[in-house]
Amino acid sequence: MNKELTPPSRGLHAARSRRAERADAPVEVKTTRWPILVLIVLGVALGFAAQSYHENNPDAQALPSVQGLLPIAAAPGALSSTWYCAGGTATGAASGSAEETIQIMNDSGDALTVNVTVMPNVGDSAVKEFAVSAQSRLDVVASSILKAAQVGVVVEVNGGEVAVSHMLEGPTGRSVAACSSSPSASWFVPSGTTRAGTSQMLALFNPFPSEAVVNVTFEADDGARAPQDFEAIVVPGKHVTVLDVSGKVTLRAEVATTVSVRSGRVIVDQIQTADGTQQTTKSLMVTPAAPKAMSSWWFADGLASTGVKTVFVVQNPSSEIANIELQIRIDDVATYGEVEPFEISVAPGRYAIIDVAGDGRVPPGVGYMASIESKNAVPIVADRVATHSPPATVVGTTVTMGSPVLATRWLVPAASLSSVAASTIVVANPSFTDSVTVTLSTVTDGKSTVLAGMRDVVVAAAGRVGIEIRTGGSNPQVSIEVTSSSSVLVETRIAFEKAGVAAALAIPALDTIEVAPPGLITSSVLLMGATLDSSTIEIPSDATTDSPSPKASPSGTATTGT
Amino acid sequence: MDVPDEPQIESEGETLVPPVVVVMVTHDPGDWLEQSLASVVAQGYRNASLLVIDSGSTADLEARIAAVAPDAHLRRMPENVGFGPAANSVLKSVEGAAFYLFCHDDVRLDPDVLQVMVEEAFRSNAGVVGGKVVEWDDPTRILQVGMGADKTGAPAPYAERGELDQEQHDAVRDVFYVPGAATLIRADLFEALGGFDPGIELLGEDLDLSWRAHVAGARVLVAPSARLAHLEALGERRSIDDRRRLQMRHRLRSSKVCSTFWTRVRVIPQAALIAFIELIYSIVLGRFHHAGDIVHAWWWNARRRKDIHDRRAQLKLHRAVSDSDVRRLQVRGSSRFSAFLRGQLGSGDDRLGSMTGAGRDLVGNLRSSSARSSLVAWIAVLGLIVIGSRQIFTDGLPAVGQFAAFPTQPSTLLSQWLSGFRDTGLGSVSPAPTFLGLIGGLGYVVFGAMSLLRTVLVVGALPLGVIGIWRLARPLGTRRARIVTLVVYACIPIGFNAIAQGRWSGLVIYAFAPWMMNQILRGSQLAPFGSVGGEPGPGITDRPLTYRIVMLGLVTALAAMLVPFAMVVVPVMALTFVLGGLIVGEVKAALRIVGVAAGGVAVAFVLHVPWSVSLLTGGWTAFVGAWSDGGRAMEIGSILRFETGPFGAPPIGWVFLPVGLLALLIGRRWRYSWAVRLWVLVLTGFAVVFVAAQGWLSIALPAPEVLLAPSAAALALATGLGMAAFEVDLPDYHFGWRQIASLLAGAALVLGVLPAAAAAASGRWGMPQTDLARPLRNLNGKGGGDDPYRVLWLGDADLLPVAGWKLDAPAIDDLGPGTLLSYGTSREGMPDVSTAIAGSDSGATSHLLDALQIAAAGGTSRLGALLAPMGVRFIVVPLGNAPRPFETGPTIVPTQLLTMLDGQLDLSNVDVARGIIVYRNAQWAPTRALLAPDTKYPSGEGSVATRVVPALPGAATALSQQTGFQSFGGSLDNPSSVYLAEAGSQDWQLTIDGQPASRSDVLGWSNAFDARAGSHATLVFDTQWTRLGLIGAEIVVWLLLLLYLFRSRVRIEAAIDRAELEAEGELA
Repeated sequence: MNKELTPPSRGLHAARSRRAERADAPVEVKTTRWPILVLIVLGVALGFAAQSYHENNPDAQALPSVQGLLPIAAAPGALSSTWYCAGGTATGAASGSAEETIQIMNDSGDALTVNVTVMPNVGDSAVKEFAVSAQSRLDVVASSILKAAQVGVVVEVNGGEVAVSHMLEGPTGRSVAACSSSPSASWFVPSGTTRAGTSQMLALFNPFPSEAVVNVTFEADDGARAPQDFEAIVVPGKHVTVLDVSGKVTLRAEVATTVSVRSGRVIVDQIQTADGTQQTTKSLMVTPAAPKAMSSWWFADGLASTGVKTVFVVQNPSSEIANIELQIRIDDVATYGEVEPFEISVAPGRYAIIDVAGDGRVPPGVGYMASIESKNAVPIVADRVATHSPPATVVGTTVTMGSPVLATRWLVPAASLSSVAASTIVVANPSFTDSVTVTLSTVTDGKSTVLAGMRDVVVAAAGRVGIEIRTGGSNPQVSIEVTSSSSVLVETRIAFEKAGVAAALAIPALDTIEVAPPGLITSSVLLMGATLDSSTIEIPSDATTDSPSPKASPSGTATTGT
Repeated sequence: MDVPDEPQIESEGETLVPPVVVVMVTHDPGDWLEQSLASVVAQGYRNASLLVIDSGSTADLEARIAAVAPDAHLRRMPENVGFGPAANSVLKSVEGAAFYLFCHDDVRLDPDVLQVMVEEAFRSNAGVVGGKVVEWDDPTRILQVGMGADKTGAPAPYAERGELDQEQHDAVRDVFYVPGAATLIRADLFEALGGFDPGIELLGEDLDLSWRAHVAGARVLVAPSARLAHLEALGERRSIDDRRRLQMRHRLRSSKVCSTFWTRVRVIPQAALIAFIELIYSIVLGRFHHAGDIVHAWWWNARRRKDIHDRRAQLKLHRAVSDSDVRRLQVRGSSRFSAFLRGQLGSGDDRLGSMTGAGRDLVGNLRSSSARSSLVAWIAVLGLIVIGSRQIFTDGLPAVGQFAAFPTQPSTLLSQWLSGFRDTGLGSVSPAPTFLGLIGGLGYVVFGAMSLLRTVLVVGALPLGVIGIWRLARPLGTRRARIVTLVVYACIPIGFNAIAQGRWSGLVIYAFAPWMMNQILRGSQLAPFGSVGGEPGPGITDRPLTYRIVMLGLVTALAAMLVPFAMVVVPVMALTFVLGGLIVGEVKAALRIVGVAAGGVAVAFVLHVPWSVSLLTGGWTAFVGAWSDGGRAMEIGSILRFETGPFGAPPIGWVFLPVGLLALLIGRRWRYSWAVRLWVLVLTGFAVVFVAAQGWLSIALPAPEVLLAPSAAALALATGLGMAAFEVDLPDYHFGWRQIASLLAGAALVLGVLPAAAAAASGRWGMPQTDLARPLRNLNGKGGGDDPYRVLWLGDADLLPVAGWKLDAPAIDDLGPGTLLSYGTSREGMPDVSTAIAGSDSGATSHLLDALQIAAAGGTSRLGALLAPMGVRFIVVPLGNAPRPFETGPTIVPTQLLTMLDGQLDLSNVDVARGIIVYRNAQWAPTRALLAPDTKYPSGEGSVATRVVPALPGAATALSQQTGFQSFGGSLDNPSSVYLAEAGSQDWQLTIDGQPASRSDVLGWSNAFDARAGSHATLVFDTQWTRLGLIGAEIVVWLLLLLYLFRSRVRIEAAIDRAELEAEGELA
């Protein structure tokens, strides 16, 4: 070893020190080194082990937030909530193609103040303030506030437990859908059509002060479409812009739409009409676009009736192939046996159509619930298209977005409407192990009334229950609240008096939502004997209250503004 | 013995031996005089006579002299006039001498000294000849063999004092001057030069005489064969400080007398500069006597300008050679500065006092391999820092993270410090951090160059840290151990990563951790940091425990200025050392360690009162602040590699860990026990960061660098211990795995330097080339006007340029691993350094949090309206540490937050730059708003409607002229309600034409004034006298503690100074 380590003076010191210490060395107590070495090795090893466990433990992974996945009613105690109804016309004339009426359901125990702002495609917006009583529903006709060729409506409420939907009514029919509770930077509509006899419109609603810049692209059966006119569309702030998709993507049987917002935020509705010609079923359909792709989608109300053709459309907006499995859970497994899952692959950016009725796997006349899952977790968007043609009792077409969530409390604002013959509430229990108890209540005229026989109805594991509600044409502005002991899925199907049918997902309450975990249901369990327990309930005008609530009636005071 | 008027010179016509008069000047001699006289008498030179000049001795020496040298002549001076003036008497009293041998009365000449000197004078035609001076008691040790000097007269010895005489200096050679112990000079030369300078009564006359001899063209030689022993007994007759004073002033006098005009023009300013530096350094060290001597030297010479001028004129008559020829005989450069460097690099003594003590020149010193290694290591480390920071110096320091800009005026910070009102968040009536006062004060020191000050503080933290670790490792006793410790700490990327991410906190703890650890370790008094359990190491001075506590408190207080958590770091360090002691079975110092740490923290806390009290009341969050890992997944691997930022990646990033284990494997005695203690600290830091990164802690913790910097210092010191063990302990082992492990550790150490070199390549430590300030510079223009407003900053805590608070909002706060959604505010654009510590979020600021949580929960789509009463005009969400594409860290997009903000009906996007999302609040109102006199303010609690003031949007600004910090003026044309969006307090006072307006708390947190019309209205935050009193007390406490440390240091330094002077033979 080199001894010349230090300058002479310090070297001398060090050398003396070394000599002194070596002289003492024989009496030195033996050094016990293992405790600290073990501590170090053990500490580092534990660190790696703990980290590995943490990374591999799926329980530690947080589920995605439910905000912005679909229209959601704010929780009780919320200071305010805002709803956006993107598409519709407000001409005030009977000939309006999609005259818009807003249904505002206040399921809370407090009277609330509502500001309804109607924002046109051109010109200034107008606002009116209303009061909506506790546990009541307020219907607002958009044209009563502002008349315009196209409008978007913002509903601002100073409280939670409010659900808002809108009904469009025109010469081709009527349609009901939930309004959106949040804007988004991306929107997806898997199913649309521009074939002869139909018209497809896209309402881009920007209720914010800044302008939004939007790109709209399409996937049709002949490939991708990115019309130049639909690139960098400027949607002015506080305005709605309606695109005529039919004029750009002409005569395609299937059109899947993707809306990408480059700056700002918008709300998107798809509005389709079919005039009954060219082998179409006369109908008007408003479909809220899906703001986000998810790996699982649920559908509660599957129809396999004669005259009803149902297809599921799956859009894959990602850049990876999605391996899709559609599981059908029919109501009468004991009779018809299991339905083999549909398995397909959807290429990146493409869509796929699954025709459950034409395939023959689903027996005719048997209802079902369905789930579409991306087995490789590639996010997808799925909706269901049901075409009701003779000999079906009602005719029309419905396009219903699936639900990526489950909840224990669902609100159906438009359970009854003028000219509605009947509306059906379908509750599906997706659990394959546990039954749930479900309670259905009407919310109207300041009262929440449990429907007769609908308190704590037991829905078996993997079962469904459907309740047909008839209001006798008295239009009492009935809304429905569905509560359950465990998470369920709720849809509503509305048959209009003269013609037309509408289907829509109910609106979940924020504080009761859970994101549907993928892979919950396996096919072997899905097919356990599940039946749809159906019943029809007539709601008299003086419905008895199971749990009295303060009497309140909708009233309104109007103001206007820009 | 009678003293003849003239000495009798023997005539030796036959032998032609030149007559020599030995002139011995004496003054109150001790018992050595007889030996000195006897040595003269014993000279074999045949033509010599002895003249003893008694310079005012109190006792009569005649009998003593006669007893030993009966032939000697004695001349009495009535009083002590000093050596030179006394010796000059030979000019009048002696005739016919060929040479004079002037000698002290405490020299013992070898019998042939006179013979050798005279022969050499003839042989070499020398004018002045000196001999080899050896120790009185040990003639084998050399004291001097001639002396060199630089242009200012500072001495540069040719031989090291105490050097063993092995005839290594026995060659005759020219020297600049010969020591005055015994000087042979030609008599004619002495007469021509006018003898010794009569203005130099003592010390320095030898330099002066030789210098003038050079000027006169005479050679000055040393003849080492002429050996004489020197007792250096002057110290027993003259005070040390007096001697230094005399020496300093006489050197300067000689320099002035012996130099020509143009030489003086060059040399005197240089001498002045060196003297000034020495003066400052002495003052800093508390060596006031030394400083006084420097001042005295210049003052003394200034008062004798005429005398010096006359002497110069007299010398000019005899000038035979030019100054340039004389200069060639002098030492190049500054021998004082060289000695200073020797002190730092050679002996390890970093005190200026060693300037005069070293015996070898700088070059010779550096020939020592260890000293050269130190120099190389320091050049490498400082070069690394300079090269790595070069673009920061040239392009400026970007305002990234906490490195917010300093205000252009130092007074801005000082006024905030004094005010008692903090404007972070929505404001609060609370004490401001002490650093505002310090930086404000420093701003005046640098004459307002605040940007430069900021750059120096940031970059200077790196050398501060490595200097600290250098001092910390000093007691290890070996140079290599010290170098290894230095290099490891410099290369562990904690400091680099802190700069890269703009974290004052990490940088400050990196800079101060070694200093804090140093005081704890020295406070333990365990070997080698003290004398318990072994010999103290080099540089260890015995100081009282109180000194250690106060010193630790001061260092901790400095660190806590920007990182309050430093007051937690210190006890954690101490406890880990205690725990480590338990592991090795040594508990004897536990109480001292804990006591020093506890005392130090207490002192630091007191030094920050009243701010520190407000930290306690603000809770843990106020103490720690809001931090994130910047989106970096702090996995166990990255923690062990200190990879808290862009530097420290595998595989090389791993090397320091195994290197630090060496001391545990081969160390013995204190090297092992301290290595264990240090490793406990290392592991503790790792564990805390790991646990925090896994989210297992419910409490907030500071930035990871803050927790890892002490571990880094401990690991570096453990590595140094490994090196010490390699030198001391390893030779005692038989060859085996330990030797192999040691070699591997050495190789790994070399490898570990490479990443640091790579990190320096960017020249800016990975910081972006620009910052958020540039795109946001024109933020006012985006909204128009110069109205007062706030900017609300939202995003990951690591990306915000403002210290904020955690935004706990489940719906939007999941930004991904290693992130923390936080919020903070600034005024009218980018924040400055005053927001570097957020403080408590209670009080008014909690309302800001409420508003954000309401919006996050979907409770409103009109967040702008909720923020309007708070004066929030813009919301800025940075996605990176700089605009794209300049960002250098991870991009963190708070998707849910942006979705929430995008969903607000009264917020509109403002295009600024990529990577920065800016929203303008359409409902904004100025922080000082002018409203109608009958304005009704809601409660501010409950529903959205009760939190909104409908009249605020679009309101005009009240009192638009800012006259100081929280002081505004203007006129009020009409009766009105003046709304002030600051934390409510009675200390807010609105005065209109001299009459106070009534104030009320509104919205549960802010202020409103019922104002009548008036031409002169002022709105001020009235700082209470109690606040000013507390500030004054704080300053007094700081000064008292500094004074205590200063006095303690002065005492110790004075003792060291005295010891060094006593060891300096040149003064004797």
